[in-house]
Amino acid sequence: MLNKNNYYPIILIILILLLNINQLLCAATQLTVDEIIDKVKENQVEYTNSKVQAEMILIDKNNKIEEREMILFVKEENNLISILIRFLSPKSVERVTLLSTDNGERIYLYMPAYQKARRIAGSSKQENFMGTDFSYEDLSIDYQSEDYQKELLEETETQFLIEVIPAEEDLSYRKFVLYINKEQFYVEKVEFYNLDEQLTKTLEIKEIKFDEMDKIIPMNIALANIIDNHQTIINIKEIEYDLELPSDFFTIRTMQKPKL
Amino acid sequence: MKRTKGLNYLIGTIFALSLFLGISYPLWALETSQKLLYQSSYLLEQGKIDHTITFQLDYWEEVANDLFLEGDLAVRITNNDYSKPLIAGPNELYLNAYNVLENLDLKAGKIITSWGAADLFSPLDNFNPMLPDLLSLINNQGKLGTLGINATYYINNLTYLQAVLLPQLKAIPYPDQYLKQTYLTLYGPIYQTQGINIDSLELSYQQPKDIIWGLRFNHTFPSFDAGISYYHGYYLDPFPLSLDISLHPSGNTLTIALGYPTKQVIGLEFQGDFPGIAGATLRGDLAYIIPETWQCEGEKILEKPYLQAAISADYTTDADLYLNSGFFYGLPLEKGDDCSPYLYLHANQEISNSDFSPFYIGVLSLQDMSMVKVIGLDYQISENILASFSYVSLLVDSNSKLGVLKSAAGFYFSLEWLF
Repeated sequence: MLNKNNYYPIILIILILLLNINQLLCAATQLTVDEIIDKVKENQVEYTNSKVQAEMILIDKNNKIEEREMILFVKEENNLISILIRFLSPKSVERVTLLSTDNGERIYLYMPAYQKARRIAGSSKQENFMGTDFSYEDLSIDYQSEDYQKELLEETETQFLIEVIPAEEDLSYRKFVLYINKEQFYVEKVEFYNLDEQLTKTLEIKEIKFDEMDKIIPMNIALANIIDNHQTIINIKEIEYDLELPSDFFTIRTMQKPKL
Repeated sequence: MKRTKGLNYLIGTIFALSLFLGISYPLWALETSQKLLYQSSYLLEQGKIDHTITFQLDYWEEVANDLFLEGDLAVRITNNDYSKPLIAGPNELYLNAYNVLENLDLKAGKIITSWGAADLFSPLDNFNPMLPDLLSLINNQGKLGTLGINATYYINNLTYLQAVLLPQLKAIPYPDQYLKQTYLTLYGPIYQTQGINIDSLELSYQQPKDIIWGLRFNHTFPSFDAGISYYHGYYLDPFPLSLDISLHPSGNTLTIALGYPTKQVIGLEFQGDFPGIAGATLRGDLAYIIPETWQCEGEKILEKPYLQAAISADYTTDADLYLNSGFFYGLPLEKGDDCSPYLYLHANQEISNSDFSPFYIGVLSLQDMSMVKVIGLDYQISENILASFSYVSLLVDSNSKLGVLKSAAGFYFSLEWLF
């Protein structure tokens, strides 16, 4: 049987606990959305260009798996992304090279058998990129853009959930939801909602590593297309930043070189 | 003439150097990829089965910074009447140097040069002959390398100027037997009306001596690429120059001298967004062809300049149906006043959850409504093995525009292994 005196320690413990939780909550919610995004940006590697050697796995709704090895160069300049991808395997696509400049405005495909770069219409940014689940639009969106409207939806034990409303009117997405790791401040997952606010895709970073500057490098990325029940997994084998690339690297001249 | 010999010597030396480098490099030091291709066809007119086996080894090696040795080695064995029974050797072998001088790339040796934006039957693509069979023509593959130099100067990231020089013509390698049969069908009845039966036919060739060259200027605009070009060379297929009949009691022989008329081609090419249809690409080649006046036995075969065009659009629907449709004015075998309009459609359906992919290719003459149709099925056996079966049918008679392809009707099968 508890008497009045026995209550004091219990009340004290509850008070301490409440106080601590409150303090914890205050500490967490002290961060505004912009501050959270800033912390995420702080942890990202800043670069002008990158070279990635990766394995790409495509999984369809019947679990049929296609594997491709590729080398990928990316450059961002004045908010315009240029990408050069060369497939290394399988044999059927070996040395097939795709160049996309100015956020997909100009796209070329080089197939060694034909020995000429073929221009592909760049007007359909929603089209999937080389059989993957990434559209040209997906590759060029900056989810953390300062121009986008952001709201903290929820805070779980491990993640911040932030809703992002894009500013562009011609985008095929109404909103994104970012799942940000609270401990390491990186985007673990992005949900893509179409103009009818239906969830269409999810992008997950399943494995990361830290570089010598303690910046986060995503090593395993999975993009799932909910509508098509199709998945693209990218396993990064090697990544280099800020290479000394010639000014004409992202041109059709480079596509024809046997070695990049 | 001296100039041609000098150029021949220079390119021959580069070719020999490439050959030396190619041989002196151990195979394991080269980056290689191989293709083994088996093709067979049952031609309805001939009632016989043809078999062709091709082994192709592609290789490249960086011999110095930005200097590459590239090429392929092909061995092709066939019993097809339209081709030589054995072709073996390097189809391409060249040195490819980037930034020889600032912004100048150079390719020299046995090379293939592809001009024009059109996927098929480009009238601007005149440097390399094709293997003379229907499927090579339709697939736009089977080009043969020629000795030459290709220099590309990049004025900036969007504009380049290209010059190509070949010391001598390499013509389409029609087997003599095929040409003899063709000319016998053409001239036999004419002599027969004069009461002369032709028992045998001999061919002699007058080889062109001058160099072949071309210039091309290409620029990238925001929504399309465009280029203008000039070609100075020869027709790649032979034309009859003179006929000589020898009458003997043992049998009459017709000797046909064949030659290659010169031609100049002023070209315009473009490729880019199809206005108004998002995701569709428009490609086109327009050629103004100035031939050498050519006559045989007083009959003018070539005289006036003429136009040829290949314009097409390609688009992939949401249901993974690839469509490539186009308009041609003049096919590769048509010259001068013979040129006529055609429609073309290539459709290829990717089927989800299936390794089968049906396709259709159709060419329709708008002049006489004659038609060639190819209906087929590709089957991706594994990642690197592809089987393809197709049926070629024709709605033609011997005198119709597509009548020349009449003998191609039949069943075709191929099995390709990449390794």
